[in-house]
Amino acid sequence: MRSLARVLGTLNFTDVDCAPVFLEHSGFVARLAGISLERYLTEADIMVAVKLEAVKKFRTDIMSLGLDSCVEAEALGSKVVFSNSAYPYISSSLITDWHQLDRLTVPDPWSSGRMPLILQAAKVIVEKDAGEHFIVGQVLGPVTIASQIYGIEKLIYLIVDDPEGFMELLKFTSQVTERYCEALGETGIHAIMLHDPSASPDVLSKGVFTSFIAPQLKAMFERIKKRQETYLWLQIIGNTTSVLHHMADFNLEMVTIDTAVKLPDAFHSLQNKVVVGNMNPMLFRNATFNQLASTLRQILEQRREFGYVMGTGCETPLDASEEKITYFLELIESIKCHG
Amino acid sequence: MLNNLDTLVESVIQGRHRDAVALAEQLLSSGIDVYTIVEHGLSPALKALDVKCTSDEFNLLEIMLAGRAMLEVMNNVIAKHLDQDQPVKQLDTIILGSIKGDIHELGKHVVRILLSCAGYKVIDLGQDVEPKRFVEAAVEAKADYIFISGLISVIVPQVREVRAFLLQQNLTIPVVAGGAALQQMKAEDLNVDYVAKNAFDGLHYVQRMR
Repeated sequence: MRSLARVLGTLNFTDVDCAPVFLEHSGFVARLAGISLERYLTEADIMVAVKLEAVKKFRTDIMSLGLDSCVEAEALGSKVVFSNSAYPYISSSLITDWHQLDRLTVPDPWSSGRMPLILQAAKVIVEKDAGEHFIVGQVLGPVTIASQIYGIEKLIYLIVDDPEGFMELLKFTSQVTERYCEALGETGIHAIMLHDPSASPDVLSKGVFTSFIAPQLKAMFERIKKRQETYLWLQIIGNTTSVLHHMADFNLEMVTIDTAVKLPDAFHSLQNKVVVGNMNPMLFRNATFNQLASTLRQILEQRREFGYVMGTGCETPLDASEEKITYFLELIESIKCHG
Repeated sequence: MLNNLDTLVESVIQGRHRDAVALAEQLLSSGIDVYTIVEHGLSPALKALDVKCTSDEFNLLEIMLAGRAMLEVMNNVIAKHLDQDQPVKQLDTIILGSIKGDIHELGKHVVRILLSCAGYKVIDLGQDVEPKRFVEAAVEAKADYIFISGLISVIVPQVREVRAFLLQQNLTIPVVAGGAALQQMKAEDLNVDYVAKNAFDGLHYVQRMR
């Protein structure tokens, strides 16, 4: 069965030969190939080569196209500092008061910052992959874009000191997310993963997620769905157990869960969604081979028959062990169909 | 008096910073000394957060809001009245920073807030700090501890360098490392004195050393 068919079958909750496998490891693969992170994150042809090499090398079913968590803020005008040993960062807040939002305009993804680079790479990858794999574009969610342009510490204080200002900020950053989703959809990719780590209940609390973030995300997914046919995928890291029921109510098809969320809890709450997870990617750096085998056994015992993608809850560490990743994937292969 | 102190504890835990400052001022006006306010109004709040930090209900928002409330009481109320009272015990000075190669600051912010709330003088060097700079800053400030924060594991070689720079100057300032990547390693692997499992563990370490 081809990877694309396997993932599409999973999305339809129909029988597939085995659960698809997804590892998020773009920067790791670039480093493995001896390519500096800065080059990988700023040159479309390098990005294309790395992505294609990654699926070829590790034979995973899903290819994700994302760079780092600065792309959207950079397109809005934030200054990005690159480093060869870590992902880039925003050097200072773009705005210091939410009233300054009127200085900002929603960026045109085809001409702002590094967004055109990703859009270009997405088009090339869709063409070169020729329907082999399920291709996913990554976009930051509104809370994380807000934290990038405003600063996470200030954003936390804003939520309680001026909830109206927080909501105004979210309304604006939601537009950034939506506009970028629309452009990515035009490249021919299959799905868009909305990555919003700052929205995690571990960061902003279950109460804030329920009162402020969930209604905003729900409305945003509805708007995106009306405009485009790409599958939608939500990834919020940390322990999201307490807010899974909100995610079940969002108009999207896939949800990534992190290691802190138990697979049975996710399956119970997300019966209508494809669940992706919940392996800890740090195991690819720290675990022994026996621990990896034991983790896989545990996942296989807990997985459900339909609507499940085996994967990590977040990105593979840059210094992960290639040997351990290969071992893990070969182990999956050796018990094909995860018997 | 006891009720008002309990209310102050609750205000701090709930992050109501303006209420906390107003309550602390009221307590002072009613004749309660600053030491009682710290011991019975702020310390219990810090302990309550400590418990929360290890529970499933942990979230950064509540920790940071409570930390802000506590710091505002310390800075806007307690500090103003210290000169009028007996001299306070000199707490230690701590150099804190995310080391070269690491730009993540959120965990470091939490450590800074907690250590400050507990009465330590914290000098925050920011992110992407050269190993040598930790030592220079410690010498300049006559610091008692160096705290290194690190979310990602690629910074391990830089963490190891800090002790080497200290030894070059015959200094024995304890080095504490913490953060998502570092907390999974042993002190000897990082060439540090202690690896903190979380922000409160780091605080407990310096409290134990006093």
